[in-house]
Amino acid sequence: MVKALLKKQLLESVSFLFVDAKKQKKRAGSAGFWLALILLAALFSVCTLFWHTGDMLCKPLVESGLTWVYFAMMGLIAVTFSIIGGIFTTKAKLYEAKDNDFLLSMPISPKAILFVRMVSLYLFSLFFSSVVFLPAIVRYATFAKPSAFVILGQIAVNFILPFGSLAISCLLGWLIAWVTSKIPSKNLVSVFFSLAFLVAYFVLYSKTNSYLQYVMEHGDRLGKNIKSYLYPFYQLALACLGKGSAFFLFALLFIGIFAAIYFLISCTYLRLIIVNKGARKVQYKERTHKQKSLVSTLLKKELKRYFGNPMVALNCFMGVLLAVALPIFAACNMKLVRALSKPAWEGGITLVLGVLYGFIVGSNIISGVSVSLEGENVWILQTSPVPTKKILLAKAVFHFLWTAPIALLSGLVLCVLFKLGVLFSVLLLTAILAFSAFFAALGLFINLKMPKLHWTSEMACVKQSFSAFLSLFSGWATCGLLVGGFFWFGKYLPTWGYLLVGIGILLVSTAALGVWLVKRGTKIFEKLA
Amino acid sequence: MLKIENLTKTYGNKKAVDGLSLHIQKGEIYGFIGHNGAGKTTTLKACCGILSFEEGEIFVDGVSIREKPLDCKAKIAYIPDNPDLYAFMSGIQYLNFVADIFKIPSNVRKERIRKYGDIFDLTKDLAQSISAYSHGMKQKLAIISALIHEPKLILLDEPFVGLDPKAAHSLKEIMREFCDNGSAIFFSTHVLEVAEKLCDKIAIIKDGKLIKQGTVDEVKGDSDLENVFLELVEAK
Repeated sequence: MVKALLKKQLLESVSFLFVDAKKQKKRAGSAGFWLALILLAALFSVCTLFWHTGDMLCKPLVESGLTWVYFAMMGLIAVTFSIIGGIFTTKAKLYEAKDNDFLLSMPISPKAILFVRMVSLYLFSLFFSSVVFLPAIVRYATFAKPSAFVILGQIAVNFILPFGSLAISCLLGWLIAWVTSKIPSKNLVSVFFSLAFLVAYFVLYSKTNSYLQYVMEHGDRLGKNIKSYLYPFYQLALACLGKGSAFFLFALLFIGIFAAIYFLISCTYLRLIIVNKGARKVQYKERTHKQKSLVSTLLKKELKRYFGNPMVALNCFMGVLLAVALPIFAACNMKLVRALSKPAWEGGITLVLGVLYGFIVGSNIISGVSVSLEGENVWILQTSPVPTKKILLAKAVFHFLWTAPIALLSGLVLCVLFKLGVLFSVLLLTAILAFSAFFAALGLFINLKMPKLHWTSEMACVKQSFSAFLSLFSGWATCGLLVGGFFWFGKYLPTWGYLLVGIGILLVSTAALGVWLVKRGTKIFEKLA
Repeated sequence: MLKIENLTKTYGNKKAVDGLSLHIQKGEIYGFIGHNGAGKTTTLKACCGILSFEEGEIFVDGVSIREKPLDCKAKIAYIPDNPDLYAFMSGIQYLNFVADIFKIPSNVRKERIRKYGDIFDLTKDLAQSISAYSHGMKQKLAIISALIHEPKLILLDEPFVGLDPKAAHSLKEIMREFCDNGSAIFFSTHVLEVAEKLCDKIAIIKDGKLIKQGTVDEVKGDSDLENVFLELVEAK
């Protein structure tokens, strides 16, 4: 029974590699292989980021005889990254999966359900922590050339690390689920916790360099603090240096903490996983509803869809938050802004801001999950007398309306702060509009090619769908291409000329995507099942 | 009202519907019965335009579903066997959504929502989120959403599943009323007693092929519908 559940859980997580969700058939030929390859390429990029972090810390700490501080720090970063990446997935998978009721109705104990979900979450945590810790191991190995035994020990540590992050994710996820179950306005609670984590994440991220600098300069003081207050990480570090007793103590601590929390959760699991606890009765009052136009109706439906689940909204509207945060960040760092606001650098600054806004706008994956979120409801629009191109247009327009105006306002503030002239201000704002339109169309294109209509939790569309991942990645890739293009072609054009060409390419691409959506996209949507 | 000519739908190597032809006149309640996997849902989905088909043609009020799907859908209401509705909306929000799609004026929809909400005893729950609805409540809401735009053709896939006796009775009365006003209803059911009492005509499908059709009396003859159905379905 547990084996069957495990198989189901793991298959659900990787189904996108083998099953074409659009056709509900196995992927033809090597499609799954190529998908996996693209995923690996993206994974490699993220690992490279953490490799650089390890690179900054490794040499100075090892040379100062503080190798253990290096591993303690990388272990801490791995656990933190794993918690941040996994806490809401933990909450969703453990307590909010749509098939909890179905599984409970069968002769399956809640403990078995919990065990199976934990295995899946362990693998998820392992993925996140490995992205940080494995590059750290590689960096150390290339620098210090330790023995094979030590490296094996470090790899073993990598497999035990996720128990620590999963324990904390479970605890925090349980706390959020418990608070949510007590408070009527569940949406508000989820949004509060999500925003709190987001703010913490961004504060941490913005201070990364200064933290790393501190670590390099005050390694011994930091080491004393780790030993006193983060003892398990001290043992982790010693385990990475090949000390057998430290390895066992570290394993005992991490697995022990996890086991204790697992036990606590299993005692209250049945109570917590009943998805529908009964809503508060809302009194119906008959009102006259003003008739809306078709587009208005479709847009309102999209609005309710996204904001009906705050976690979906937070993940899909990340660009909106970034667009709001950027001018605030600039305003708090006016010294830097003034230093960069030189007339001679106007073009370069505009280009950098343009790419930055491309990244920000590309972080909105609204249209990239829009079709997937229709899920089993897709028949409603398919059987309605609504032209399919209007349905798709509404999805693209919804994305655009939630991206462009806020990004434009944000861009306008930066134009003022950086004292950009009329020409470069217009170019920057036009670039923002072009990016917004392009990503709206591109997301829809990707999602129509790779829809995920069958899911047990909406978060699966956002966090576990290839379409969502590719929509986000394509945003980064587009910005990367523009930067790369500038290094190749920038010498042939003035900066404003390059910006104009970039905007032109985006607009032409958007138009091409629009034509595809009308001619082919509509047919694909009509056949979705 | 609905004319199906030689409909064939294939999934891979399997013909889910094979050369099916049916003609449903205005004012008729047409029952569609068959074993599980016989092709009932496939036929209904093809009629409402959400499933393409390889051969044949379907006409709704003389208009081809292939050539003018929007014109056909404006006249059709479809209720699937397990209606997945927008869980993020309340009942009333969903009804207003459907009413906006079908361009029902405000005062007209208000009256119809009140009427059908009271008939199906769902009015007091219309402000609740659909995610809190039971299966029967969702079924009722789906039925109300189908009725408020007064379609010419109603396609129902096992509509009585999950309905309480009062709601099932109300639905039968409304179906009769709709057809008496010139609409047509084509529905699939496993409840043969309902088909026998309610339908004007019946079609029996087996393994994608139509094996018997006609008025209820023509189909059942001197026997009852259950015996006739079992004989036909078990015959090789």
